[in-house]
Amino acid sequence: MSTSSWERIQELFSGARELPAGERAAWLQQHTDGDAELLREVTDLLAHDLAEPIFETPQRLPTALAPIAPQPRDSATVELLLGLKAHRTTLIVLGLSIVVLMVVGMSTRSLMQQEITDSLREQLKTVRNLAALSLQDWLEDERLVLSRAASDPELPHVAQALTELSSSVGDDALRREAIQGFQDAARSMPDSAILRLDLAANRQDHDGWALISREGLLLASGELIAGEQRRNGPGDHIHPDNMPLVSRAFLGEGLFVPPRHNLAAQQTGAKPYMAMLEPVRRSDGVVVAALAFILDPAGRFTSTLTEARMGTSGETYAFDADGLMLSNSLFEAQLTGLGLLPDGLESALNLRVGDPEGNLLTGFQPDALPRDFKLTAAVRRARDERAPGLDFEGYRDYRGVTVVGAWTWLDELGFGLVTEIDRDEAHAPLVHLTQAFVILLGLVALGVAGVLIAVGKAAHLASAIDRVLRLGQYQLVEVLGQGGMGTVYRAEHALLQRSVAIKVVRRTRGDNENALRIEREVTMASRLTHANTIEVYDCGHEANGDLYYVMEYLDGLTVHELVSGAGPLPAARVVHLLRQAVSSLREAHRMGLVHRDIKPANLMVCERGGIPDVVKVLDFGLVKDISADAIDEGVTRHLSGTPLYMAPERLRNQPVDGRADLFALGATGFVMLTGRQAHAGTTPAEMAAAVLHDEPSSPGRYAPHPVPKELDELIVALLAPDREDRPADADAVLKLLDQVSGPTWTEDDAHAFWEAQGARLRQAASTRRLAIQAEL
Amino acid sequence: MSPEPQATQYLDELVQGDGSAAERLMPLVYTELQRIAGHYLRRENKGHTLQPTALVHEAFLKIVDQTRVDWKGRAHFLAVCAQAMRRILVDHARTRNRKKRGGGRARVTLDEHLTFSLDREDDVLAVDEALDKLTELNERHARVVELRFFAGLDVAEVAEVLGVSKRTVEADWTLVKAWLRREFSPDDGA
Repeated sequence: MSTSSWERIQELFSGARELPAGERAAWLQQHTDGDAELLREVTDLLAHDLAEPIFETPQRLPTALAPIAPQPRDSATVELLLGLKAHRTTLIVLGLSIVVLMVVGMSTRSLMQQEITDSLREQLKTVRNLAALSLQDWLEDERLVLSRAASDPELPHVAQALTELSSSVGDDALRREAIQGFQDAARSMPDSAILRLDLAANRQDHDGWALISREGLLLASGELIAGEQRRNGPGDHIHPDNMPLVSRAFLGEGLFVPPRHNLAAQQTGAKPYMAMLEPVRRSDGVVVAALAFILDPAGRFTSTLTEARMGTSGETYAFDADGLMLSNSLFEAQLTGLGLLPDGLESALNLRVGDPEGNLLTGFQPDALPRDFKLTAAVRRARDERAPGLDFEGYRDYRGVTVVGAWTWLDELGFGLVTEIDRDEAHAPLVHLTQAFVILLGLVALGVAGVLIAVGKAAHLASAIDRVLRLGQYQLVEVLGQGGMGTVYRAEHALLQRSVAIKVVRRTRGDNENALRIEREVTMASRLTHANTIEVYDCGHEANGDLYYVMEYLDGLTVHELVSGAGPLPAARVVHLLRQAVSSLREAHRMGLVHRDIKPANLMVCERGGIPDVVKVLDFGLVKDISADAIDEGVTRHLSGTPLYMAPERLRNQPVDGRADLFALGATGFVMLTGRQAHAGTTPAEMAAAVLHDEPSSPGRYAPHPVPKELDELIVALLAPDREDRPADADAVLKLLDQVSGPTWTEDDAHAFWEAQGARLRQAASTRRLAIQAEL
Repeated sequence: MSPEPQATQYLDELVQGDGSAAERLMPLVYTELQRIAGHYLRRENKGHTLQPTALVHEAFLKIVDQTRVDWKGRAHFLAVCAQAMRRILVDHARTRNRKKRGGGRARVTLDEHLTFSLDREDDVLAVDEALDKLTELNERHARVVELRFFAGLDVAEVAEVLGVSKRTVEADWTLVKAWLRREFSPDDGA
């Protein structure tokens, strides 16, 4: 298929795709001009034309190459805390909502308060109005009965007859006798005005009736009449004080007499009474007598007032213009106890509704005598204003207790009514409401305070964690190791999500010299570019002055771990590994850098780019600059490293050069071949002594695998106590390694090894690392 | 880490029309991509799929001074990256396969609904071979596949890299997809 026909294919393919499936075949037939192969090709391709993707496209990163923004992506806690920080706006909104909530709450509260107040005021008024209306209805009813009785057509004649009879008899006793006789005679008749009056007055509340002459003479009376009857029977004169009432009746006026003491029987303790009077007229309209019905104040009058009451402390009572209570108080027991009411007397007509100016129930001692008390606000206002009124703010009642009340003055009846309830009880719903709101506001305030504190702490904690877990663009993930100089972490680049190793070197207070030294080392280490040297990407300072540097993250095993787990290595593999380590050192040595800490734990064997057994020389953190001006400083004060891998000249504090690294590499090679140290010793001092004084032994003697003579000699040469006896430099070592006879270690060998043992070795190494970390 | 001034310079030259700059840029890109991709190829990130786009961008960040490179420069860079990725992945797949089967390789066939994945060495090799064949038919079509598969670019990015319209790339892509399916369809031994 040629290029040109391919282009033709594309033309036809694209053209056919534009068409509905049914029309394609015909269209292609027409456009291929009989080229059967072309037709088949295009048809075939169209048959494989599917919309589905053919390549698995993994989730893509954002394609825009934006500047790297630091973004923590690691710990859920950090994310949560940072989330709080990021949601500052939300929190402000939350705060505003709370304020709005509080305002709404407050206005709701005041609305509810208003509602409750209104409802209570209505309740007070209703109770008061109910009492007033019931009283008026009842009295109206009584009045009708009375006026019907007074208009009995026989009654004027009876009255006149009795008046004439009484005036004709001068002697009191004879007069009484005559009138009584008349009355008795009338009652003995089957139907008489006297009997009809008895009948009309014989109602539950009535104490009796009386027919009174202009002169105040009792012309006739019902049997039930109380005190008057005992002292003042028919034919007697009524008490002079009652004469004005009789005179008013004779003026043609029907009238109501509110409860009053039985004046005639005051000393005997007779019960009070109330009365209604109606004139009795002759057919010519002349008033010939006054008819009175006597009512019991303890009856219907009292029950009407007590019918409707509020709560437990609510009462309705009547009072007259002098402020004398006309009905009974709810608190008679209290009043007796307080001395306001003489023992055994009821409050009606015996209690003055005065204001003691202080709460007597709580032990208040009034200055004035009870009879000199000012009347209570309700009574005073009712009497003075003669109009309905209400006080919901509160005033003192006759006990000195603050009450709320509604009052009215019943002008036609000549007394007032007041409905009162203790303010504490009336206002209880308001108090509860207020309490509820105070509690609610308190809780909201606590909540807000809690949220604010939490947010503050969270932000603080978040920034603290942020500081701790973040270095530049790197997010620390785990601790890989810890040592005298600092800590090594595994970290991830914030954007690239690539693992790196970060070594944080603690800055010792005041040790500027040391800090400078380490910085210089890092600078130099970062110049190393050899593939077998761990790469330094980046370095920087933390806020506290600690230095950190970022290296490539290697997930391999150190030679130490490898030999510990797999035992001594075959000579070919040792050559393979040593060659890489030496070539890494060669670059460093040429730049004038000595590693100074070559040891099995600082050589990592890893897989890079699919190639196994790649050596990376780690920890150039101790690398020394051996160029002329730095020698003095380097050798003396900083004796660090493992004695077993220290060249004798280092142990002697003599200047070192690259050959010290070669010695250490020899000792490492010895370990690789034999699984044991080149020099014996259990304490650092013993080890140092062995290094200084013992002749190096031949690894071949201890190695389980055959060691070619050339390699054996090379190791011994590298371990020479006098550096002049060692190979001159890394180049020389490389040449000697090339001369080692025997099999070579191939990539396939390495693959085979790792496939067989890799998992077990990694497992063992990670367990060991965890154990070490646990100890730290 | 500082970007390599050389890379940026080559990219500049590439934008200016010096085609040989691509050859000089290639080793830099290759080395860097191989280093980054090694991580994935070693299967160290279990459960992670190879993300060519991520790798390419990482390489871009690492070796190019982004402040000096414009959109067009980026397109050229992506093109170089796609080639480098292809070489890296194919090399890796070959090594793996040699190790696994001593050089032999099962032929990849494709059911209608199956797809190619960079995570499977056989797929990589199969696509690579198919690309060689496609290059002979139409080099641009092969580039489209290379950019899509090995650098994970979308249609818009491919259009940008190749300097053609999105429509053209879409048309090419439809045809090439059908062609690839046909190439690997089990019934058709072509």
